[in-house]
Amino acid sequence: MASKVKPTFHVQEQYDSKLITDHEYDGIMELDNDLPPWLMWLFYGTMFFGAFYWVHFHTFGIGPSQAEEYALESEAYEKTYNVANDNAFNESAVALYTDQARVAAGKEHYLKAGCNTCHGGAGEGIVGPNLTDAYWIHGGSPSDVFKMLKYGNLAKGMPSYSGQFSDEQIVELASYLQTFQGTQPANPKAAEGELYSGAAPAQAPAATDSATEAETPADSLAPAQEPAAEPAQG
Amino acid sequence: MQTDKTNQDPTAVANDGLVEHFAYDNKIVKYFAYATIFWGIVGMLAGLLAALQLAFPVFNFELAYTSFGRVRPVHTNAIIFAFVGNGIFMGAYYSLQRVLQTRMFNDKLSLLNFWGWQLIIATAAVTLLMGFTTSKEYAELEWPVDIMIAVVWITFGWNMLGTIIKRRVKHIYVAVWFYIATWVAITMLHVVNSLELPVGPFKSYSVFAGVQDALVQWWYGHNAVGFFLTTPILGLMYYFLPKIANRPVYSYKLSIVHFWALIFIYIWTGPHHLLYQSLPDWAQSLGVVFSVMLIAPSWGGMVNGLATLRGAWDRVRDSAVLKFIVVAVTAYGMSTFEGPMLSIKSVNALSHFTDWTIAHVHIGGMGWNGFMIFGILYWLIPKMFNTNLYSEKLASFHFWIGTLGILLYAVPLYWAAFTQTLMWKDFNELGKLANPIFLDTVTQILPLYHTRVLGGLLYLTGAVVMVVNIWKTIAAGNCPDDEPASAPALRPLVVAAAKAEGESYHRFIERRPVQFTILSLVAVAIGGIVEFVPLFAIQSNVPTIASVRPYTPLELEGRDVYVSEGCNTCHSQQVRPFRSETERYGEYSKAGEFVYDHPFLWGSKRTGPDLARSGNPNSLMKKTNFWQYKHLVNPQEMTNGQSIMPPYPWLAENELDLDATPAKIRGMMTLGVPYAEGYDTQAVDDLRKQGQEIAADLRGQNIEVSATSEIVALIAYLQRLGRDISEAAPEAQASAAEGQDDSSK
Repeated sequence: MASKVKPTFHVQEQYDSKLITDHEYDGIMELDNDLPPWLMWLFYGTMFFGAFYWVHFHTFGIGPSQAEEYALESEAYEKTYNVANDNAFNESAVALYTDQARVAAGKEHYLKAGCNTCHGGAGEGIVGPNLTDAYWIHGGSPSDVFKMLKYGNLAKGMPSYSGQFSDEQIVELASYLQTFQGTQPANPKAAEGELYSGAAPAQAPAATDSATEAETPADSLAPAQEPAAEPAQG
Repeated sequence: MQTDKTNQDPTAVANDGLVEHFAYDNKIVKYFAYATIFWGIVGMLAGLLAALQLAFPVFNFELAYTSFGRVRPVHTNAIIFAFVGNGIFMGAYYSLQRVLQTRMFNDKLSLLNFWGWQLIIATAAVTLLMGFTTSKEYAELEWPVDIMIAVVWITFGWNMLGTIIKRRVKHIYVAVWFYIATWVAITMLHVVNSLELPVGPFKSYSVFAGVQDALVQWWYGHNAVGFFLTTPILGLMYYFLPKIANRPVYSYKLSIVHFWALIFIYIWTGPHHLLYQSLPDWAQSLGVVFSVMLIAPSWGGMVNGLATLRGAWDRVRDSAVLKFIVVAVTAYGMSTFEGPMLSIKSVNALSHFTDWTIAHVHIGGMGWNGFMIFGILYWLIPKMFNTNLYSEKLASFHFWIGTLGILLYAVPLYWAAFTQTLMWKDFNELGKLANPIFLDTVTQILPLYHTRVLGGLLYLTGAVVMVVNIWKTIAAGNCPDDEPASAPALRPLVVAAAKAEGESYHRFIERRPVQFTILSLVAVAIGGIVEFVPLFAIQSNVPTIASVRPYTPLELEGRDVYVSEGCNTCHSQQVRPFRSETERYGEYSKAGEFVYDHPFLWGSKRTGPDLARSGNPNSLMKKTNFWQYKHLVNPQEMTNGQSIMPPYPWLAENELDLDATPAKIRGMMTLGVPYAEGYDTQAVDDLRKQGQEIAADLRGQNIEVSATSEIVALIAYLQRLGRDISEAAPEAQASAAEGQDDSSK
């Protein structure tokens, strides 16, 4: 292509301002156009914004600091969600689900959280204890299992899953664990802990003294039952 | 082609009328052109690999050298310093000689600049893949390479300033102003941010710690964008755009105002990378306001570029070269508007740590930098080789597929960013995180990561087509090493004369390059000084936390493993003060927690969850040693095959280099970390002891691993992170010995 640069810039008619005559660099010339007003106003506007911002947040301290913002957000959060009431879920009266969809969701949680790495894909136990037998180290009632899932026991190597799962999801997970009971997986780990007599055979909802009464709406996790005493937040 | 200009040259008054004959050095320009093409392809391939790894973790190949944490810095460094860097040198070496009407100052310096730069790039690629890294973004290279960079960069500056001084044109053109500012600023940024204490052949610790290190790094990091990816490219624009379009520059006044405003303001903006983080509020606010004030000066460059095309727009339709340049300048305008928007805290609260930033930089990188270089190459190569471009059609194809590539790259990532950030922040009706499993927010956007791969692939395809086109062009032409030229000699006295009556001050310093350089240095130095001095000098900026103690030797080694594997590429260590983050990760991060962190490791992207609290028992991020072990060795196994984290099985096999540990402890002591006097001699014993505790814990769970393996060190580090703040201050500690899973006592 013919991109030869000839100093053709003397054709001034095509520009709305003059070429600056003594500016020429390897054939490149410059026009003496003024700064575009809109651009300058934009510049002044941003400077004004900057000054206002500084004065607002620092000189007069009207705007909240980062820490204050967090405090405000937390206050609003607590108001919106009524945190005390959220913990009304009665952890000592957990009712397991029998609904297939819930149990299937529990299975998904089981795999997603990597439970299988310690307890085996069929609950046979690898590093973690066997989940198919009726022996439990920390108690086998739905509430015991729920609490173990939720709070874990780091000293024993069991992480807390309260951060990953909602209470409802933990019940789903516990409900899935219930389906392991009484199955006969390959390579089962020897039983550990104590026999939990309340454990019903596989597929049946667990019936513990406390769980039976709470069992009625089997499909919905009912946080509306009597408020528990201790808020378990954080 | 250079005509004798004695008659029409307006600078003739400064010349004594004697025409001097000389030759432009085209060989060096040609070398840099080849290098930018070669490294461009390499850098884009690395980028494509990185994109594939995020979409399909199998592309990590289960090898340390090819895992994402190491590939990503190779990609960024290759694109910034190898592709764009060589492109800058190509354009600067070509244009400097012509606007100054002289050959480069010294051919040997030119060659040293060229070969030195290529050696740095090759060394960088090898060392980064080997895991030698400082962890600081775009400054990952370890101290020997940092020294090489300083030497070669100074060679370039020497050569450039020498050329400017022996010029045959009275005044220096705006393109040269930008090159000068580039050189001055990069020298300053590189030297300050690379202040590090070597503790081994390819290992050093930043002299700065925590918050201060973060500020210095992002002062550097943002201005690597400002002064390596922006000002030199503007310099290229000011030469090549009017030259190619054969139109005069729209406004000389605008050049002056936007040049000085740009370089002065740019340097202040670094803190916008640290919004809502443990940086004092005042420093964050400086980052915000200066970023917003940067819009107009940046747009000054775009306006001056696009308005220069007035009267030449009809040719844009037919010329691939002009199309590339127009889209490049437009992309520059877009990203320099988006940048300030992202610097507003409420926007940043959404965008930071997501793919939004990645999309943003790729508009700049692929659009502004890439297209500018492609456009220049398509014009320059035929010109230097005295032939026509092999195929205008292929160039046009490259333009369209490249543009489509940018769109297919960026749009999915914007979408991914919005999706993910909203998922992170979403609470359900009970006030619980709606997406408590971080991984769910990743799998949700995975299809968009796939699309992004396609975008990158299209862009790379365009570049490969360019290689063919350029190759054919070169084969058909012939590029003499020297291009004869002539110009009247310049009388030094006239140039150095005092300011004449009626001469504007700016016009005056345009013929005083040394003063010009010094003034540029002043302009770019102020912002950094104003931000650093109070942060370093005033204690209250980093409130101390009594319970924060130095890392144990094993944790320190683990931290080095974390750095070496590039964990910080995907995991932040900075919980921002948002309820959605404190619910997910735990207490928000405080400046005082990082006082022993040489370097800081806050990260800039959460491809995986934040790890600032991974060792804090109150945090939901706290995991057992067993979990950490299994997850590091095979993350997919722990996540039902869904995690996109690369597996790190080699960590379990690699042994720590315990011979290096005492030197590391001594280095930390030099930097002010309060280990007891002589602790370096005891460090290895303590390290083994702590390692054995972890190994014993793992053995109890049927995992046999060496107590001095890298994985044990890394686990120790992860178990330490973010814990101190919840513990009692040292005096009270003896009484408060808590037992669970506590491996660092």
